[in-house]
Amino acid sequence: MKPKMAGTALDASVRRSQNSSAILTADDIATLRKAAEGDARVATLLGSRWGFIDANRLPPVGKVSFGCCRNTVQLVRLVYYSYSSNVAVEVRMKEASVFSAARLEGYLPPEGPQDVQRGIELAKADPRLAGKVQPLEGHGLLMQPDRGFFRNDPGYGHRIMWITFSQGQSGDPKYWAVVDLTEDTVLDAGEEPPRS
Amino acid sequence: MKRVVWSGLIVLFSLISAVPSFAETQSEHINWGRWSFDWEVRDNTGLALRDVTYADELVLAKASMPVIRVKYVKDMVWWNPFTWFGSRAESGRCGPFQDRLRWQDLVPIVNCGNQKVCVESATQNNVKWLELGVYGRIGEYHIYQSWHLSEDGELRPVVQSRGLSCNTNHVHHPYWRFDFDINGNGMDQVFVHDDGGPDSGWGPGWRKYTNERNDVKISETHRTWFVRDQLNGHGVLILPGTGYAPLIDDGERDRFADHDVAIRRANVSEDVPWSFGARGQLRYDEDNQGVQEQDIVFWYVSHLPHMAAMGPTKWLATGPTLRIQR
Repeated sequence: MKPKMAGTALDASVRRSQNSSAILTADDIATLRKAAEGDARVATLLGSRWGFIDANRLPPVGKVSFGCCRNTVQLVRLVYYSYSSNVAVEVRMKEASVFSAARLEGYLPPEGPQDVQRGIELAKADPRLAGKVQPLEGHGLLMQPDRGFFRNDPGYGHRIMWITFSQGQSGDPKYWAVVDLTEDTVLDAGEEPPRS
Repeated sequence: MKRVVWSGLIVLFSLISAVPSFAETQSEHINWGRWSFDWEVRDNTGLALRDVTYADELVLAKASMPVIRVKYVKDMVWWNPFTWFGSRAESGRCGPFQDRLRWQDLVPIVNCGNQKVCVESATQNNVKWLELGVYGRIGEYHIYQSWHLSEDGELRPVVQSRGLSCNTNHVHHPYWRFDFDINGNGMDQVFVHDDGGPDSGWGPGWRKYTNERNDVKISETHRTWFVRDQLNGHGVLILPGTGYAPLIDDGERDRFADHDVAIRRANVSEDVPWSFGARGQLRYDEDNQGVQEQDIVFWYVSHLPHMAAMGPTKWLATGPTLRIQR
């Protein structure tokens, strides 16, 4: 439920019309992924272990505010994370064909469903949490360990997830784990201390 | 007769199934009062507005929120000297995080017709407001990101947040990106005003930015900013947020997010998903480009403190005010 704002009555004077060119359905994404993941160039970039992050229609380049092609967006960008190469991979699709594929060095894309799912799986199996988190719901957020003065934080430069377990979607974590998806391992885990 | 009825039903069914699901659209055009704009959710920049016009004149090419950087404090244990210094001071007990809202993070809003993008109008103090909002769920966070437009020319971007990634105090730093295009001709100017400031030719207290730079709020001088079109003088005032209860303002910058506003010359290559990680400050100013009579991007950063003791259920809100001046 969204936070309540003053007044909730929908005003009939709001005129809405769909921009159909911006729609990307789950079926569209599945089709595009199948084509991308079957492409040899993409397979080479992804390596043996990877996760799908997200898909977006590329917005129009520049500020075309008139003419026939304002809303004609040809390309769809698929973003993956290659755990085995520890790098994000961008695939640009034109219709159902791979237009380009490239590594995005240094870019940390948002957490994808596989990032979260794998993070939760590894955390649940960790001896420090095993048997404690089963009735709880797992959540995951991408975090970024720091480069240290004497030594780097554990997981520095890797795809690291902060995994928490809480009652449903209470936003109140009871257990946590730091999961390194690049190494496919749990770096640390424990019980969440009381609120300070 | 039976055949005609069946044919009619088949045609009707095919027409209905050809209409895309209204609730699933990721972009719409909206006309409301004197406002006209598109909204969209794509490219990891939350709920964004495009081609925003007010009273038939272009104001913004795009307004978006590419990231909320989140910094938790470090636990310092008095008996453990290893916790007194070192890299964890820059890290906190968990995080830092870079929250980016995408379509896949949005949930149906149960108190807004189960739509993923809420569009509602309301009246407050005799002024009509239009609200567009999305409810994102990422990690433990519940984030409601919204745009509020008033019939008399105010635009308020707001972020509301609840939930804890770990039980420690932390600060959310939402970054709003306003790609101004006032009157649509790329001749924008950016000014800053301080009460009691000298007159450098633009009126008492007004100064004009000449090059890309970051700047800070000064509450003592009620610092505000003004972006205007050089040709017709129409513009937009940018006012630091005065706070949504229980907060009294939109927070204080810190080492993690060390500025409140940033003025940049617009560049297509910089209209991309947040590229600086959870730890990186906004850049795009390495070449210190001139910003006089140019196509301008104005970034506003607010700083939303969340005390862990408040728990995970209390919504906290932050955001500046933009006011059209003609």
